Amino acid sequence: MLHGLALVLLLLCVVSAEAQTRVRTLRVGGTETSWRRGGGGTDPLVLGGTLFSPKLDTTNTPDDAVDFANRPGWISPLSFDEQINVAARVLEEAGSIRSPNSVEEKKVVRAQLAEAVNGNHDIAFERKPTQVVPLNPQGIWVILDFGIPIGVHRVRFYPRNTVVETPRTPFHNDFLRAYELFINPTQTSAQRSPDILVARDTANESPIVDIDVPQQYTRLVKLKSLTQVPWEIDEFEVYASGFLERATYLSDLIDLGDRATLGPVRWREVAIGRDIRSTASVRLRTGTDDTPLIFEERILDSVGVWLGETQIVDQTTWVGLNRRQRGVIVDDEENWSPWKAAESGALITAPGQRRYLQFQVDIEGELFDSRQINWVEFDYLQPPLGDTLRAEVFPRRVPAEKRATFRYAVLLRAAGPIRGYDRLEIDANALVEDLREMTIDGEPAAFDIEYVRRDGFAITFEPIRRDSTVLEFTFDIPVFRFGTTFSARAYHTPSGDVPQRLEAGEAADFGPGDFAELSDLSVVIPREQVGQLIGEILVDNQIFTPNGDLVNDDFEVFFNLLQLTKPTPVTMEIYDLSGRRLHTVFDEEKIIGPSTHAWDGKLIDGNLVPPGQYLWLLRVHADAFEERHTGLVGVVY
Amino acid sequence: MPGLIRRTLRLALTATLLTASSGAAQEFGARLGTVQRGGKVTFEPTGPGVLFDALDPVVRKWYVPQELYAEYGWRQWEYDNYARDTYQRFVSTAIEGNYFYDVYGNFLTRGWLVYDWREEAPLPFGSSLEKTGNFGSWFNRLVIASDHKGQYHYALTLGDAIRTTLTPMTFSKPNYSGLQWDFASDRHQATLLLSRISAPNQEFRTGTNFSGPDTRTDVTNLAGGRVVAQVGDFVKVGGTFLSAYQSNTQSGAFSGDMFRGELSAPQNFSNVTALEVRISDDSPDDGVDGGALFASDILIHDLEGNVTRGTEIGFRAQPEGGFQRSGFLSADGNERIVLRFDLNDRTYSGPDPSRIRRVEIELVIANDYLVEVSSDRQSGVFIPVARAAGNVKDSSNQRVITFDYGLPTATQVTGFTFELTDLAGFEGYVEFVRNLRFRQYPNLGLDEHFTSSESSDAWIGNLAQTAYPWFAYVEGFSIDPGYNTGVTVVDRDGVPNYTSDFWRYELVDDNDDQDQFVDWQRRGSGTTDREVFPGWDENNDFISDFNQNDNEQSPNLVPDYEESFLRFQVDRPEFLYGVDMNHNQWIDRFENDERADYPYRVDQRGYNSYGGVFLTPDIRLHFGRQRIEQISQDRRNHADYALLTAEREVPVVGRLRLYGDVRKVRDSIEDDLLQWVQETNTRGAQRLVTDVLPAQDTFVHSVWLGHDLHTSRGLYVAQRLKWDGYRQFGSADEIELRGVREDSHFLGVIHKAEYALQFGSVSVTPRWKSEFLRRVPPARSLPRQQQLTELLMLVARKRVLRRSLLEGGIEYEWHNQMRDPVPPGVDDDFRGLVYLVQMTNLSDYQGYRITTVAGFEVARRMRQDEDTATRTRGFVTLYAGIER
Repeated sequence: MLHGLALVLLLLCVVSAEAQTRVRTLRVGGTETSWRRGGGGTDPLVLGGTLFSPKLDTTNTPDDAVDFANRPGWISPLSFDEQINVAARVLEEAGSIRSPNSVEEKKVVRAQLAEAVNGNHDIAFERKPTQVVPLNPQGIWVILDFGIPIGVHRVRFYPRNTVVETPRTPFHNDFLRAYELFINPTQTSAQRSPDILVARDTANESPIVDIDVPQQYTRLVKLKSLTQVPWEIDEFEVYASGFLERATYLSDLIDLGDRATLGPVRWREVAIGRDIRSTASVRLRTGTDDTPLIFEERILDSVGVWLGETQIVDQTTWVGLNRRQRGVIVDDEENWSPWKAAESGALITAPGQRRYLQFQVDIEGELFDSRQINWVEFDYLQPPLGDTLRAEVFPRRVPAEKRATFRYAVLLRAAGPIRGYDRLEIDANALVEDLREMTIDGEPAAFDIEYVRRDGFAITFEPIRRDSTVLEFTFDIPVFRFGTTFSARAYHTPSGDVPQRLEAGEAADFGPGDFAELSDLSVVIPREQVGQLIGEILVDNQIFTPNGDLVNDDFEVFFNLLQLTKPTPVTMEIYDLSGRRLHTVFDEEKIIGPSTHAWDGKLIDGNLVPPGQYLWLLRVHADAFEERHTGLVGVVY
Repeated sequence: MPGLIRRTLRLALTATLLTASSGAAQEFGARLGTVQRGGKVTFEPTGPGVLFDALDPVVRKWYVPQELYAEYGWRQWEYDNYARDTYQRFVSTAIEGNYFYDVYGNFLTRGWLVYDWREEAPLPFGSSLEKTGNFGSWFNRLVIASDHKGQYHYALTLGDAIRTTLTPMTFSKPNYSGLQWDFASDRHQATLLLSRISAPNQEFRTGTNFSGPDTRTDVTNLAGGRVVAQVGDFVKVGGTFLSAYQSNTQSGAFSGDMFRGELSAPQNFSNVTALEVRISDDSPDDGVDGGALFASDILIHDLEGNVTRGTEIGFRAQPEGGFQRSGFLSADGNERIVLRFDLNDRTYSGPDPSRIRRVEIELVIANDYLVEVSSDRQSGVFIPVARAAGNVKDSSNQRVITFDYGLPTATQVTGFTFELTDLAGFEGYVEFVRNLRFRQYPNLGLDEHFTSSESSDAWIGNLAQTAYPWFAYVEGFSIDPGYNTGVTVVDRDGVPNYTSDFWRYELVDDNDDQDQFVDWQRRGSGTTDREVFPGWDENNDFISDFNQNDNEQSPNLVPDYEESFLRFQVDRPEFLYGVDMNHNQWIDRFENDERADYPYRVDQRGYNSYGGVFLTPDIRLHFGRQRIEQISQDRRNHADYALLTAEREVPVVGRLRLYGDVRKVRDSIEDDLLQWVQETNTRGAQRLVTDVLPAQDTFVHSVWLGHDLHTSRGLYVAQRLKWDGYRQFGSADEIELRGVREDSHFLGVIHKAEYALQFGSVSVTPRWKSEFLRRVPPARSLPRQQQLTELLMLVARKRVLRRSLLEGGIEYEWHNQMRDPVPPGVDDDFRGLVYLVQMTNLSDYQGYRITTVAGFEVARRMRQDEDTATRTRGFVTLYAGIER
């Protein structure tokens, strides 16, 4: 019995430890159901309308612009089958159908217009004057507004008893005998976006008017009657194909159950058509509760006058309020981060270690060029490495190019169970030298250097798990750019490759000059040095003797390239004193940092230049300007 | 002694009465005005006096003014009997106008107020502008006062729609409303402009009833002018200054001036408590390497002069948005970085917002940035403060930019011009202008606000020389991206509306067709021109020459080149030819845009030069080079071109004309237009025409050939050939990405002939016109077209009686659509037949020339596989004219 109990306990410990170390992956997508479920959390609230007249909707697909079924498991902007009539979309929330100059009973007009696009062939939109109702058939507009631009290529309209036989309403001769058809990709504006006339017929004799429209994004389809002859429209059909220009997918408010370290976000996308013509982007935000919106209720006095005060209520209460009591709905900036743009494979920049998250996929493209997204996923660890890993570097202002000594500190804070960390990856833009003096809470600690590269370095050490533990170490490095940032990521090696980004802030007191409110991971250089692309230029010898005696045979030049964030062409050329170019010492793309080159006095044909004075010209061909430096060099042999 | 005085006064009054009664200018006798020595009546203000004769110590009340004592004595028990002298009603003393005095008290005139503008401060509603009904009804909103002596002339012009131009870069309006004071002598000229531009017109009242001035506290005024001096015989130099500034008449008399302006009351209604800086990508289309933000800071200056740096008190902006890169945030594509400085935030421990005099924002920024700023005093409207030159991607333009926050209070332009006229054959013009835009930081507790400014420069210059047969021309220009001669004016409540163009006043208007109406809707611009077709109205009747028979009373919905019979004379617009220097497929002189009419576009710099030779007096050859760059973006318009024009009149053969233009072009600058397009069955409207950038790396060639022959025997023969070709360079992928075809062209050929025959009193004119069109548009999205139309016409005329004319005509049209399937928007094959009989009569009736036309037309259109469509039209129409 005891043995059995011990075995169960041992198993539980193993399972618990396994669960603790396991990297979890949350994936939304891959199956149609998964996309439709939105990630399986609280339905997202989409706020529309205006600040003072907000509208709430609960949907993963604002404007119903996302297609789940086109390719199972993938989402893309909604696409249309060119054979299917989409006119009924105007009856959805974003759309409308109206006849602004039909001035009769609005309800009747609205009802008839709705019947003219819903596939019902019994009721038509009629403009047939009678003695009782003297309707005017001429000049009447019928405007279909799809709310968003769709790729319209064909428009068809007809009276009853034509396309579908309806013997009880034999009005096949009441067709529109003169008309104009316009389209517009957006709202009509005489100057910015005038209506485009696509068809005009002042002597139409065909009951079924079928018009091919040059395919383009169209939001408004506008029909104008030009006839006094009474007419009706049984159905107004609009055919579209291609993708919507843009679509947004909004995930649920995903509840991770507890605080978690969020790893890199990844997604799989493919381009349809030319990839340069479409884009897909993902944004995320994180929160500590499941209500990213704040609902305000206005406090009214006994006679219903607003006292100028508000109180925060929950969504259900707010919906139950009358219009005068309803205050504004605003983002909860305290518990939810702003939306942060993400890049696939990169760590998210929204604050981590939070329980809730939400992402948004935006796809933009053209009619036949768009994107499909298969899934969006990210790894996470529970419990997190730490609730806060705050880091700072000191000093934060050093002269450019000079080797400077920096002290780096990381403060771990825990508000519950955490994993801790035992490895740091730190970014840099030059080779770090002399990593040393690591302490943990002031006590010397051992560490290993995993690698040192030009773009950063990594170190490992004993795991740190205790709240308020401060890790410190020292390194030397020259700085070549304003805003050089020693951003870093912490790892818990047994938990796998899910890092936690270190946030900049006060981590330790480095003594005089270290003001807590200025704590940061960025280092600046004096403002006077901002704007230079080449810093110090050192010429080894202004006169050299390329005679092959291995003494002073080369002209060596050393310089620092500053400020640039991308590889940039740099050239060095040799001119004679008359300004004639003789030789190009180098012509290559360089990144910021030190660079050394030598010239052996030979020209491209292998011959030595004649002895004499020459001019060297060092040029950086940057986007904004070309920076030039010159000097003299003497050749003697 | 008193008796002597009385007699003297009586004599004086009698003399005055006699004089006045005989004087035409004084119809009310001496009862009005004050009589001076010599009988002259004056209305100078002197105040009331005492008439000694009327100083009698009596108790009874005497109800007659003392000045009438001499006439009526003490009697007031007069009996009114109108038997002999019939009653005359009271008349208003103002029936011939009121009496007006100047500020010295001098009597000015008797008459009516026409215009009165006053600015008084400190005073609520201190800006008062009055244009009475007389201004409109008597003077039709234009009054001119002038004087001259010898070489000196001046004129003060006051109007609601004055055509005013100072220089093309500083002030040019077709309907300036305000005051213009011009001076001219032999060698000097000067102009002064003054206007209350925020409310220049709407207070104008029709009718003559007095209804008071339009008074306001917050206004936007315009003040400025130009001075030109002739230096020697060939050179003119000039200076221009203009300031459009806000004014608040309630503040101190000199707290705001015409240079910097001042905050309106609503702008200064409360203190700034939150600032937002927005950094975005200045070239979002490329989607990469937009604005890179490395660091930010805020510097707060308090009333005592202390400066608090945000980072030193731990007050930082919380950035939202942007992609995190190594060491910086990047606003790529449509991404935006917003820095919000909330002075109510708990981390803020600087001066109280009511103690802040000035706020500076400091950014370390690079790449292709656009920086805009806003505050809680601006309702979310962002105003640009800085943008990167070019499209930098490697951070090589990293810099510290510092700018003050403030609300716009004034826009100023200061310029200098230099003109050269016929100096050794040289003609030239240079203008340099600095555009300053002032802002002030609001603080409720201050009368004097801190003023900051930003400036943009512009210069233009050109030089031409002709030394026959050689000629040369060079032009250069640079106009900063921020150059802006528009200013947002305040409304009646003193609130500037930054979001609406209607509240902008433009010193340089958009008026591409150079008529009396501006082409855009702006403050004080009057009626907006809806019919803009530059170059298409050569007879200056404000009607498109492509629809000449259209007018308001008798609209014509068919363009002339498609209308039966007229189309023989009128060819399609596609057959026009000319220079297209911006390579957007529209000939430059026919372009209409929606930009201020500067000679060159804002945000561009570059030059164009050409030289050439007259090979013969009729043949001219140009070789030129154009290099234009967009300053804020990595876009350009480069071209190397050769241009040939030739015109020759050859006996028997006729007039021959040739225009040829070949050019190598790299144009990536979009020049969208608003062009006049007449769709069939419309009178025409402006349409947005997007520049598809057809010549991004392209060889462009254009040829126009024309031949006309008129013979004395009534034969007229004409030929036209138009060719526009675009050949793209680059790989197939590159060309496809541009969205254009590798080879595209337009080919149009027209032949026409007419011969007038006379058979007795009947003249018969047979005509033939053939039109071939082939169009392969550069844009891939547009379809190819190819069609041939043959027209045969026969028109016969016979004079009937003395003033009548009988005409009959038949037109046969053969239209062959050569593309299958038929492209959208064009006709398939058809045959058309039009018969038209018309009788015209000219008669004189009651002083008018009556023109009567009556006729009947039958038009038939036969299509394959379709029934013949027949249209008939009968008409009887009378016109009354005054032409003889």
